[in-house]
Amino acid sequence: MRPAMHPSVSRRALLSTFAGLGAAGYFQGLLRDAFAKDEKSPLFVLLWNPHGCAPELWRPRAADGSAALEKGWVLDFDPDSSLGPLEPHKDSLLIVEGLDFSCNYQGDNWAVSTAHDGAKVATITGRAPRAPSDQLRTTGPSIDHVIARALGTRPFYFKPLGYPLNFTSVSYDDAGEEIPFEYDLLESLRDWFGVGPAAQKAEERVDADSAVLSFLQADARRLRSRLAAPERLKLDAHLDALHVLEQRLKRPVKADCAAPGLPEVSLGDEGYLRTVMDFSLQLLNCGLTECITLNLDVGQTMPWIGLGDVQMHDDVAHQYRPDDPLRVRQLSMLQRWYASQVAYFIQSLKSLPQGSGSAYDNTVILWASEFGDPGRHMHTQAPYVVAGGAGAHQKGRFLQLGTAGEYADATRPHNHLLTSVGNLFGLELPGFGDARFPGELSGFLG
Amino acid sequence: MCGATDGLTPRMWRMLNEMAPRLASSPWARLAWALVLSGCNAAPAPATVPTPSAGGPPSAAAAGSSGAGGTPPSLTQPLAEGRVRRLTRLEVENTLTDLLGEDVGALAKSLEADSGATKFSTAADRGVSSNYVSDLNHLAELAAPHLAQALEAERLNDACAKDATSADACARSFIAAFAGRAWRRPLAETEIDELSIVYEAGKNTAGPEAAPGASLQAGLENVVRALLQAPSFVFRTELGAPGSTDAGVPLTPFEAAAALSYGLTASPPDEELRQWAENGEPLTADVLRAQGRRVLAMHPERYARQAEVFVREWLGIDLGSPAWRKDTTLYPRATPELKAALDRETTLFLRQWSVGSSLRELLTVPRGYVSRNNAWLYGVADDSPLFSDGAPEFSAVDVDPRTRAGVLTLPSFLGSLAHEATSSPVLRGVAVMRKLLCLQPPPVPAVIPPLPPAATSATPTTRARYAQHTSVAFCAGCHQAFDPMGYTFEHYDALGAYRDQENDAPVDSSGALVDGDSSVPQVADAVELASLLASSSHVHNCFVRQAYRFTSGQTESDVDADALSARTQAFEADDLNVAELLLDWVASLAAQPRSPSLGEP
Repeated sequence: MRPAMHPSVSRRALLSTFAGLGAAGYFQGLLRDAFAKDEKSPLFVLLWNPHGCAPELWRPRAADGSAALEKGWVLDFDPDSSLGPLEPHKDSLLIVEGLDFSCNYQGDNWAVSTAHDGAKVATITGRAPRAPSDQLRTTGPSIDHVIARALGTRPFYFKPLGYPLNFTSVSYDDAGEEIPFEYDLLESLRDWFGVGPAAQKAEERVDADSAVLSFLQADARRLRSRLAAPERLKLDAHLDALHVLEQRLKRPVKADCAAPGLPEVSLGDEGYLRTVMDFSLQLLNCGLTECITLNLDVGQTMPWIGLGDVQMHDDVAHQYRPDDPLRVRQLSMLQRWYASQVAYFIQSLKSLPQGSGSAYDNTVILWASEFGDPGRHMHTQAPYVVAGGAGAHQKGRFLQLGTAGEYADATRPHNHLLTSVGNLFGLELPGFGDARFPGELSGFLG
Repeated sequence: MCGATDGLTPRMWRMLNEMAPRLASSPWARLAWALVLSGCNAAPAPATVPTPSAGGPPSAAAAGSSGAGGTPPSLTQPLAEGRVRRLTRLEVENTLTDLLGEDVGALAKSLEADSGATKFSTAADRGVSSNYVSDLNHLAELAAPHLAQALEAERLNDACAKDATSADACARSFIAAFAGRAWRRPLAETEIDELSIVYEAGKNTAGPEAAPGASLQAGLENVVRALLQAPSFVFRTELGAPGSTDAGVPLTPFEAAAALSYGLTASPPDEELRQWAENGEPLTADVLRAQGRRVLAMHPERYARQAEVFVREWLGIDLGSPAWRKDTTLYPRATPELKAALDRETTLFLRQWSVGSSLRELLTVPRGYVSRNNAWLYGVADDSPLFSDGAPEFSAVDVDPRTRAGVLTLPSFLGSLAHEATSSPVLRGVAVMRKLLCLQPPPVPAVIPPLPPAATSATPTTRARYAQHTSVAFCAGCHQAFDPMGYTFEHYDALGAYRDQENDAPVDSSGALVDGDSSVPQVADAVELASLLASSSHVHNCFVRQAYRFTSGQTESDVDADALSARTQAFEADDLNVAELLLDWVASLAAQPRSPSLGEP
């Protein structure tokens, strides 16, 4: 399931992509062409939830309740175990514990890079915020953005709710700018299904579109030639986006594709996230996108969890203490609800026929959260789960890289995992994000 | 961690904030912030700290500058870099409206939201994402058929449809004129030739048997598709004449015209401004200011909208964002209708304010706008004559000046700075600190002691719950810088409704203005706080900074301190006139020479 690289993409070129923005757009354009020849390109789904986890009830256990080994563990070992709902799917999971956002503990920014802002920036970019006065942006893209571009697809980025004031998204473009998420399902319905190139276009219309695209590319190159770095990056990004547009306009939409119905529930209802997931699944089913990032945050108040009228972040996540069994259990109940949503998504993908199997067989899911230790907002032991049938990585495995709560060194940067996930899509990245942490995750491929 | 401490003095907070950019690259930063975070007040103070406060003595640069009538202070240190600035959503909307009509302008709302480092939509560092380009493609598809207004503007008539030759001649004329308006500059012949190819490709979609008029329409639609998606439409340039290698390159007259017009009204240059650009007058700040003043006078409704955007983004009022959500079990009146009413009220408040445009009025006027949906927030009865048949949906009301004062007590602002279930002294206090005083609170520490649960008998009020921030030394080190200001808003619940009691306990809204001066004036409530803020030189200086960020699209640096100080003095001398302040910034920025283009093929 690992598409062959385009022969003209050199490792040196990709190194330059890794080190900075450089020629990223151009070379990633070549990668897209390589994928375009593969009729069955893989799907990528990134799921992100706030609040972190309680490792005590999150990590797998052996059947007898003892510490889990790499294989042969159970997830539903306790009524409140965080990952319990994923038990039926565990053979396809790679669970990784012990990764740190090392990028946020390096250099001069360490004092301001931790807590929410740094976590939001680092989780899927592998980079620290730009500066103390510029904490919500970084210096490069998130892994979903890079994969979406490699797939030549328009990604669907959605969050039901952001944190007040500063959380607009968790995805970043090449320049390290937040990519605004969609958040209104009705608007998304109109945008994605209201108008689309569903009908076969006349040849003349295709030629007219082609003439427009050629003109746009010429204009972008002309303007780019007048700019010095870093302004030139804006036009590099524009050229790359035009390439993506070109690919999208050529893509057929399945003739039998139907738009999802109007949402019957709204934010504040337990079922709202599933409605968002159903919408996402239909996008995949229709071939309208091959890359989805969902922020699973549905707000501070979640009465259906069973914790009563409490604030999920202030009263649950903040109150977590590893030595307080009640607090551990409360946080795990919250995390378990997120896991139930992930399980629903997985089961839905398994029910979606694709080729001789299901869409799940052709999907890589990366599930991430913002903290390892939410009570202290630490960036250690960040929880990650890789799911899906696609990819040559290990499945049914638990990689426990460490359990230390305090940041000790730079031996377990989460950049390694992001690199490995990117390389499942044939990117052949020498590293991802902070250039001080090159390499793949040991044990990822077995 | 240090032992019990009273934390940092307000003065030290201001000093640390001013030091922050330079300290950030130093190991001392770690020490300083670590001491702050640990609640220790032994942070080493710098020997000298430049104070951009208007309260200090004017510098030489400031003394040489004057207010509204003189040459604006220059912000140039090294020459500013040539750059391109992506149009904001509002700028796209206004540009499309002027080109193709209001219906087409409204399509701009489908573009992804603006975001950038300064948190103003005008941030100069924004580029485009794949989503943006995709949205723009969609927009152009919908816009292209709506050519009627453009055809009329460019005087294309039935004669153009007489035969194919006439149609093509009209098309070339249309392309040059329409594209010049869309791109805010005359096009090069090469560009017109390329658009002619686009036109020919579009003509073919009408079919080989199509009448000349139909082919012309189809071809021009394809041209409009191309023009509206082009980087030259999306980005306005600040580069100067192509090929110039002079040490300081002035903007071209067309670039300056666009900078003025977009800066003040979020709109493309009007006919007179275009004509002025074609005449090629030398660009001085005075000439630019005169043109800018004319633009303001000619397009007050566009300025009003721009001023509204500025204030909304400055204060973070965005009811369209997911941030404004309330727990409907506790706040059953938090309906979509209420949200829409509060949003509309904000618009009416700010647009009315923009007429006089005084910062003092913005912060102190006791005015509200009520409809049936938000009247209860002001104690206006549902059966008020304000809502009789035939009355406008919204009416301006003078609210009790003891309970409301200016934009900071608008429910939209207060509700944006609250949690789903409770008010938030922290969010509100930090907002005053950041947005009105330009002080930066330290980052959230790694270890955060828990607050008591909400609304227990021991802590019936939000204030009592948050009191731990000042009773625990560890917390007080940071919270004393903003909680005293946040507490003054405790008369307003999570929706911004006024309350005297919370959970049957009396509300205590006493607090203080913590602005960095050694004296910390005490206030009884938010109304008193607003009054102090309106006359604070720190606030005036901060507002001048915010206006700079909005108009320039970038954050000021230390070396701008003299210019900012001078501008603050001019702003105060001008009775805090915001329109004049924006005009001066825009004009001085448009007059600024740029470093020569270093682009490569």
